[in-house]
Amino acid sequence: MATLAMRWVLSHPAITAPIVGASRPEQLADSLGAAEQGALPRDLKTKLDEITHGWRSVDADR
Amino acid sequence: MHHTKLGRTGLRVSKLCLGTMTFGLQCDVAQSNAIMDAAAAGGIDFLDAADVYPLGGGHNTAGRTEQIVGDWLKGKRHQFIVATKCVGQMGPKPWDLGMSRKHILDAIDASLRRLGTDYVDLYQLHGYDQHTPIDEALEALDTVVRSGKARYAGVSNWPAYKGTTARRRRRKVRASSSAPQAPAIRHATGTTRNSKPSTPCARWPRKRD
Repeated sequence: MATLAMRWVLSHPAITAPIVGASRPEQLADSLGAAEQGALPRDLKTKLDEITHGWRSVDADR
Repeated sequence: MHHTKLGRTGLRVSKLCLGTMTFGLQCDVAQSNAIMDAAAAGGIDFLDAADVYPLGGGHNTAGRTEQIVGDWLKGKRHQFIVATKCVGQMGPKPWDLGMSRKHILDAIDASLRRLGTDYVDLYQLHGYDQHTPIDEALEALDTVVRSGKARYAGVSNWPAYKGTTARRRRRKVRASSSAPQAPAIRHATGTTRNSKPSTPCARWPRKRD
């Protein structure tokens, strides 16, 4: 899940570098794995964009 | 680890940036060092701090994170791109926060002292301060960049339209050549302190061309 989420963020054309924090070193593994795998395939990114649209709309209203 | 250009600048940074706000409160020094070691081993060479960190503290703990990062960076400063920020409350006085010229110039010097370096690569305003004229803040950032204390300037947690205003005003006040290309960090909503929230570091909003 964390890897998928990170790859989704990495797929955004306007994003340079997601900032990942950790409270334990082993938490970095998923993020590093995501960076290794890179951007998501376009269809999967589109699907995730659709699923999350509601949350991002709320964000825009704040 | 892949690298990419920071916003619209020519600076190349790792595709992941390590956030440090857990260092000094959620994590002790040893744990913080272990996280930075793991990040560096994984190829992350871009570190993001802020003067007010660690998260969850007050102005009594502010600065701890930069101190931890600075101590870890000793002897390897040039292997990393180092970013930090100001605007948060750093002391008890009414001028110990915000984006006034006085505070920005005080804050950068204090950050450099804690980080143990002569310059940071990226210096950002950590939020929007409605009490300071935007021109004053932009000119102060310009001073910071021209004095060599930061290579690039940017903003964090700003509404996009304020970024647009800053871009427009920047041309009027002729603020630093780095400011137009400065990145904007937008903290993701719904993140929790102990998980691995991602904070996208996005480009300024720009007209499609």
